[in-house]
Amino acid sequence: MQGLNRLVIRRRTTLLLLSIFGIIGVLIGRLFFIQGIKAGYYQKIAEEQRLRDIRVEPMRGTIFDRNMNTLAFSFDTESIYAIPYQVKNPKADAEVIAEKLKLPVNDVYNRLIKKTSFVWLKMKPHPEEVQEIMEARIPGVEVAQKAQRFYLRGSLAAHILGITGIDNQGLEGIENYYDRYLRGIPGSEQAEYDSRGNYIPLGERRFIQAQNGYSLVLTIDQVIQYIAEREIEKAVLENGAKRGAVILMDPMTGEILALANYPTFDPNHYADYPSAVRRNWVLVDQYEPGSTFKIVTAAAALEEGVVHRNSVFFDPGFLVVEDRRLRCWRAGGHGSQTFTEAVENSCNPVFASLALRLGTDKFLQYIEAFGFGQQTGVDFPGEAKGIIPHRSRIKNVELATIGFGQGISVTPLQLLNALATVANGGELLQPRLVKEIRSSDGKEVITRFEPHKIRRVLSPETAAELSLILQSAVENGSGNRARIEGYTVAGKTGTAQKPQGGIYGQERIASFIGFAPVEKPRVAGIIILDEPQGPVKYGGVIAAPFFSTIVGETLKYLGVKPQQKGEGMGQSSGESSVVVPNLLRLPRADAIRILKQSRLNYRELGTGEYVIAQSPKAGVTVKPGTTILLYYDEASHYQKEMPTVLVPDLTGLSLPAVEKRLTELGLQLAVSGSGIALRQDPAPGSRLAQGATVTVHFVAAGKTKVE
Amino acid sequence: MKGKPDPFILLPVLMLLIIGVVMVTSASYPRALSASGGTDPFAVGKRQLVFALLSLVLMTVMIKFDYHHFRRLTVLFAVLTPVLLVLVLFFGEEINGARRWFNLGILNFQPSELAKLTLVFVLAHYFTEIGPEIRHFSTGVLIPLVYLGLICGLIMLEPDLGTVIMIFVIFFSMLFAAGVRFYHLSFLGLLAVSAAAVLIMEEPYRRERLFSFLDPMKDPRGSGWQIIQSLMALGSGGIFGLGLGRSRQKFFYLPEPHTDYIFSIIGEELGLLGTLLILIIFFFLGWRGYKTALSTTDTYGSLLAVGITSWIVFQALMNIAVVTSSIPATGITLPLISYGGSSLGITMMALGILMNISCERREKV
Repeated sequence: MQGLNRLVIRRRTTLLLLSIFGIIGVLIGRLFFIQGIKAGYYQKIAEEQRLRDIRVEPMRGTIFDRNMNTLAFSFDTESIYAIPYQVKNPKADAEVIAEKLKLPVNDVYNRLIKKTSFVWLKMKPHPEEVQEIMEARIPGVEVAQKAQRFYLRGSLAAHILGITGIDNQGLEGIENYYDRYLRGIPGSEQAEYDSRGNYIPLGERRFIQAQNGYSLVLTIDQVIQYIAEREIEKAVLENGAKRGAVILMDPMTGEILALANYPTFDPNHYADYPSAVRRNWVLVDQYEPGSTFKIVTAAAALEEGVVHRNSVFFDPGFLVVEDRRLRCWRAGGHGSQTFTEAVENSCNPVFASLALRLGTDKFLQYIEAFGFGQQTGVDFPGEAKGIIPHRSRIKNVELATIGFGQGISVTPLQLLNALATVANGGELLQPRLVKEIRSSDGKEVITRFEPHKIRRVLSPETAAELSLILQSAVENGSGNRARIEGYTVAGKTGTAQKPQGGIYGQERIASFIGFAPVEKPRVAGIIILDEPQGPVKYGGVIAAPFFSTIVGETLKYLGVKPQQKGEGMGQSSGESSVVVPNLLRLPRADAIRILKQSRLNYRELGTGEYVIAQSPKAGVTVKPGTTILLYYDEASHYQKEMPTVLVPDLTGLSLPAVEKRLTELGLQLAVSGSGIALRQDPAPGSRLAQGATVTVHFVAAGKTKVE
Repeated sequence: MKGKPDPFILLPVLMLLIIGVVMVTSASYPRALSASGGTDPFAVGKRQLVFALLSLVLMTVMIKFDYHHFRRLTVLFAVLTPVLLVLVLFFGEEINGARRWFNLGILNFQPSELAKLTLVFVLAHYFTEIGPEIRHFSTGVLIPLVYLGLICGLIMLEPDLGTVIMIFVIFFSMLFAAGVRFYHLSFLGLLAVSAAAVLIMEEPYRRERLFSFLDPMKDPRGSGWQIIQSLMALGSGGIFGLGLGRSRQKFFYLPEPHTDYIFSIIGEELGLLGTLLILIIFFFLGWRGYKTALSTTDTYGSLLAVGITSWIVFQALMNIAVVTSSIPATGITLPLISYGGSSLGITMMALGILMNISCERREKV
């Protein structure tokens, strides 16, 4: 039997050997290509698939008041996010997640199938939700720490502080203006994960520390701010005004000590308020100032020498400029008066004629020098400029009306800053809200903002003279209700007509602007009530008393010593005059007591318990012993006697405990947050009528250390 | 007549075996850790070590056992194998929709592995028997093809296309070496290609594999996943590798890191140097294997040596071609290295036979 051809076998086996040689050659080529040439590329995509970059949010800087009391700070809360890449069953997982986090299924599903490596699922979840999600162990769904902003004092200084969005970004106010300082620099945590979402044991982990934001020290003093807010709220409510605002400034430095608006809001829950309420209109809106602007006219006129303290004017009750009769607010006019008296009387024709004496160029030069028509440069976003009519449109009539504050728009801050210029001896300063930028822990000062002088506007002599005239306006004139026991006050009232649809209507803006003490000014302030609805709308009547209270309390708080009797304002006007107090809405007994204290007599008309009207009106200067008529009305509901109770301290209590305490006292409870009570409004020790509401803010236990 | 077995066959075999145990241990670490609930990350590695030791015993026995005795056992193998292939369809363990294994407790036995050895035995015996008849189409191609059809048909029922392709490669290389005419072989090649085309086009998942080979980035998280992850592993290794045990891709990115895709892990941990070493060792093994076929005086032994060598080397090359994305994925293991008891046992048995044949070599080639 013949076998196989051995030669063929040998040849063919050799060919097989050659073929594996060839194949191996090709494979080596492939390996060189993959592991050599393309190595970098594959390394990169492999790294991308397993390296997860988790943003580590920096802590937003704290905002302190000028005495280092915390107003706003951030703390960590948990947030739930997903890595869509690692989610294996988006459909099924979405249902589980939606159920546990109480979110719409479709919404969750759409997020899970996004072609990104990171989506937030829920911010600020409840601790129980966090727990449930962690227990569900869904691949690709994780919990991260995220900083949350907290405004410790609720609505205190809300309009200054502004608000912060969920991504730690300053949206309004100081939060927005100083966002790049407060925000900090995010860090990141990079780690290698396997495809099931666990750390790879040998994998690299890189951690880049987040840099926390700088903290800010405001020029605001929280105590003064509190006084201002309390009083402006009262002023707005008592006068039925649409809104009101107060700004207090240190005239020597330009530092704003308080800035209060009412109505106000709680930046912790800003979405619950209409955005109009959040508007810090004293900085971002302009208005026609009316009589308060006469300070500027007076300053220019005194500086230019077109008038002196004792220059004599005669006011017949009007001034004819070209074809227009510019009327004084007082029918019949003020008759013969010195310039000081004209300021006391806030006599429009006098100021109109001063403007005419100055001429357009000179007057405009001063208006601009005082900073009108331009931003003051205050460190706040969106500051308005005000409107000065163009030079070419100012004819004599316009010039004259600007003289008493009509036909020009200013912001309340500009006006206050102009007054501060008078108070500090003639230098225009840049107003400031932030004193210092500090390190995130607040210990180290990074930048200190020194008072910034813009320009000299008035000579010290003119400033001093005008101060005395304005002091007289408070002591003897329209601003007499702004007087503060023991301190000298300089100031000016304003009752501007509000233009409505091009003509001046019924609505008014009542204001008072002033500073104290006159000799060494510590506080300059402006108070504005927009559209007061009471029977009286004069700034001197309704705004000045609140100025008196706010500035008086502020001076005492600042430790400014009251002057000795004999030097004070009471004495300068002599024993011979008394200002009629406001008795409206007071119970009969109180009204009579006040009149007796003021050394005034009284006559009662009608029957009833409450004063509904008085004559002469409040604010009028009369001789001691003058008889005041009091009208009573039984049905007056202004101040029904209600049993009042003392608000207890609720901090640290649980919700049920708080509820029990308040119910016992007959008070209502408004809850915000959950956990234990951190803050309450009104503060402990306040008196409240029964049935009134106490708002209590709760936070999760363990977060209270922030106090 | 008997000399010593070729030490240059033993050497690469032992090297591959050791590399295999080490790499299986490394590659299976995350899975073993996870499967054992964190208690025994070396569970798979330890089992592979036991298999390696047992298979060494089996190889040693084969080195001593005169291969000529197998010729008389040819019919037994030829009958037993189809029977086992039928039985596995009924009693086999079903894994991922395929019945390929008998579960024998500690060891899974895969009859299709045995089929490779059987085919080598059957063809070596048959061609030695028919001699010059090999040049006729009917005796040289048709009759062997009938047996191949039986075996492959049964394996396709499991189904296991990868093994079928591998068996065809062994079949083809043996027909080629034994001296079947070229144009008969080209007919066979054509047949194989058309059969493959039909098999691939009929089964959607195979079609998907083919397309994903052509464009893996089309569905990187689905059908393209394995290929991409394998390339990422190889590429991440670069020239020098990340270091033994430092693969990242084995952390559940690469499926089958200790079986089909162990070569990718070798590439990732040991770099291009590691992968080239493996290729060189297999080439060396192929050279010594074919050299054995060339040097032996016995035709039957010669054909056996060609069959065994082709089997092991071509399977290795095919596996490496798959993981480097040079050919579409087929699902076959890397001989001597991939995890698996029965395949290691039968491979080592075949290598033992090869070494036994090498004892008969002439002094000069």
